Amino acid sequence: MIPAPFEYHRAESVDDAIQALSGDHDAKLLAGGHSLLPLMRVRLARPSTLVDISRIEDLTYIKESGDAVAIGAGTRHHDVANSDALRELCPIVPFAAAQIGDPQVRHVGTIGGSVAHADPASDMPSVLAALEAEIVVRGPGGVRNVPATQFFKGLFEPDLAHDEVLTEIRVPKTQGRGWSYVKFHRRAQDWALVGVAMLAQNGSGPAIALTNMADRPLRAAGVEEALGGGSDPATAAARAAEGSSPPTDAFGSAEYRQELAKVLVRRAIEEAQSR
Amino acid sequence: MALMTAGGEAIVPASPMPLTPSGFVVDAVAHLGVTDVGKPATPERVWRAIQAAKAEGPPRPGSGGAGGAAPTSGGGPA
Repeated sequence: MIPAPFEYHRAESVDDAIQALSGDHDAKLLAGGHSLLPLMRVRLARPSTLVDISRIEDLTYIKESGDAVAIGAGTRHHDVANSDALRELCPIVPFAAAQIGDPQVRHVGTIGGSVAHADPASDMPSVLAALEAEIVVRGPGGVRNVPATQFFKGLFEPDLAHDEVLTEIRVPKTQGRGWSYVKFHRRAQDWALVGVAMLAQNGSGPAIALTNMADRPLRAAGVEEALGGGSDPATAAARAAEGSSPPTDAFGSAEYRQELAKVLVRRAIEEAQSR
Repeated sequence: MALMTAGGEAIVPASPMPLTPSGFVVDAVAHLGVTDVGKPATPERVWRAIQAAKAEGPPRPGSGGAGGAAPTSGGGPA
């Protein structure tokens, strides 16, 4: 289908993009476009102007920064998946990035775009919620750092004002900490029916976040509490569906997803504890 | 790529799922008392068939093969 007419502005810099957004309430940022363009084609999104930030080279990087790794928002999923630095310092992130879509999608889609889209069925938001990563946002008033656990406010609803640009994602270094990302889907390129991001206990307690089990990435607080109290994986995983409200769609019912979450959480715990 | 929003609305029609021949699937779970999983044999259908078989009662001993619709009496709890 053909999108409604729109203007196009290629931003030369983040400041240029912010300025373009400030002058037009219905403008929208375009990064990889792999989430936005399908919505525009069916006219669920009708932006007046697309502000294209995909060619801003300053937004494409992966570098160590203190006790974190800073990932530029414009970094492609493919480059995240193949980053030696991330594989060494925070391996769950490149592993999960390699599960997104298919090779074509990963070469065009960006980590910042995926996070700003705030689709609870996406892999990266729940990984960041489990990691307690930080989302760096820039607007006319300056820079804000938002915890990933607070950034996702609802379905397609990130903590982003219309004139703000997500510029960086900061993930903590997790060397030595067991981890797992388990994604269940029916075809390799599909969204997760359910996904589980897990980081094993290391002083701060175990962290588990679920993909596609609510209108945002959902921390499995019941499971975390049980594991922290010394429960075995199977006993803890039985609490995986607590507080969840998964969708029912053509790929599976809510009831099935809740059952699936328990199975996948147990597998994730066992894998994370084994490495 | 966006086939479905998380809210379950179709954005682009889903392409057909490859079908799994359900006879193989039934054989794999027959020992649980499952005699049919329906078509196509999606993971959810298999799960529901297993749940239904469990609710009906304990699996029949030696029910791994095809046929044998009638439970043998006196087998006791398996």
